[in-house]
Amino acid sequence: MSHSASQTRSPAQMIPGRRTFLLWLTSVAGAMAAAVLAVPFAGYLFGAMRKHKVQWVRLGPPSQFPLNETRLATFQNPLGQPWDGMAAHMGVYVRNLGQDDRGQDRFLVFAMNCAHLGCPVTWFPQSGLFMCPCHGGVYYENGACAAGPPPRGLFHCAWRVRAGQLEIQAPHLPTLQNTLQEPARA
Amino acid sequence: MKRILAWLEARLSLRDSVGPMLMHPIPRGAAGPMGWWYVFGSASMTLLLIQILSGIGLSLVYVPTADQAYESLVYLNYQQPLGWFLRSLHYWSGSAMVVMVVVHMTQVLLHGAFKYPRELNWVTGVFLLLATLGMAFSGQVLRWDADAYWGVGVGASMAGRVPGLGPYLVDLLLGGPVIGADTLSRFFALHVFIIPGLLLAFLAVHLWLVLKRGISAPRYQERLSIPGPTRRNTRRN
Repeated sequence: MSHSASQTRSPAQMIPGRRTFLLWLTSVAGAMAAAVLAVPFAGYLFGAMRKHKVQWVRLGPPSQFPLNETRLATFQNPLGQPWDGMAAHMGVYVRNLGQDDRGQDRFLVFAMNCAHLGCPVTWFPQSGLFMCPCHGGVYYENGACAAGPPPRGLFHCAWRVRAGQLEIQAPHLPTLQNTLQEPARA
Repeated sequence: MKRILAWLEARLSLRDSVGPMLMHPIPRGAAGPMGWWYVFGSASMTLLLIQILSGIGLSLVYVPTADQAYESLVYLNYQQPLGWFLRSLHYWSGSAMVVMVVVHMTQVLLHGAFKYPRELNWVTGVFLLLATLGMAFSGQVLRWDADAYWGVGVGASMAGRVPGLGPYLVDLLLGGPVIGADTLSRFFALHVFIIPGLLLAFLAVHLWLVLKRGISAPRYQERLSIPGPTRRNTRRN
């Protein structure tokens, strides 16, 4: 160690030395240990946001849905867990519009959830209206909004007729920014 | 008995640590009728204690899976001895606690007890209010009846309206694409582990601050129109 008069401070205070480096190394090691725990845990917490496989659910033959009538079709939703219990038992409203010129079936399939805040709507055949019990949203038979707070019409489910059966894509909870896929023919 | 206590005291030194907390000074004005304005915080904590104990009791019977939750509550109501009482106590104390924390907050506001040096008490108190509301909203999902199910749907639909983050918040709340078993499990973890942990941590800070900064004195006693102030508490501190 130099004792010359020009040196007023000890060398350890003038340049980052061994002590600072070792402290920094300890912090980095601690951060790496925390990351090894935290990153997989964060992946676990937010893992629900993966894309889900499209699954088709059978509702029954088209003949089961009389022409120009709206019926509630119930089914077990395959999205979810095996221990969902009654929560897996869901329904959609199906309206048979008959066949078009080419003999293709035309259906309107609506999710039960009101477009306002998701409460289940009820179909009233005597007035031809869907009504929501929560805040008074009303929809016409074609799903368009008639009155009340909903900002849009009912959510359409994707459907198809395959092997003589009306099938729908298993519906997730529809929200304004995550609607069920609109079919080609609305 | 005295010897057992003396043996414990020699090792725990409670007289030094806990003693000052129990004997913490209160303002002279709080010793009279004005003191009743000070009870609401303790009342809130009492209700919290009732909630914790009744909640533990409920957790001994309640089954937190989607296919059994409602049925276990039916069993609790009609077959478990005094189960109806425990569930009713938990429900009513929960509502009372929400009311009581709002009353406590209003009293603190109107008496100016949030001012220097007690601002952080107010801040932790607001976090406690949010935690209490979180407990109320997560607890009612656990009933898993029609109200609970569709209530969660409405809450998720509200969250879904957030610009940009909407769909991710919905997935986070529901634990998946639909309201189902994952939703119930998520809210059970929230109601029993996550929010109580936060609540108790904030409560510890809140109480420590009360002891450290002391009880605020009632300042405008003469101007308050409560009946029958005595000569004892109209003296200015």
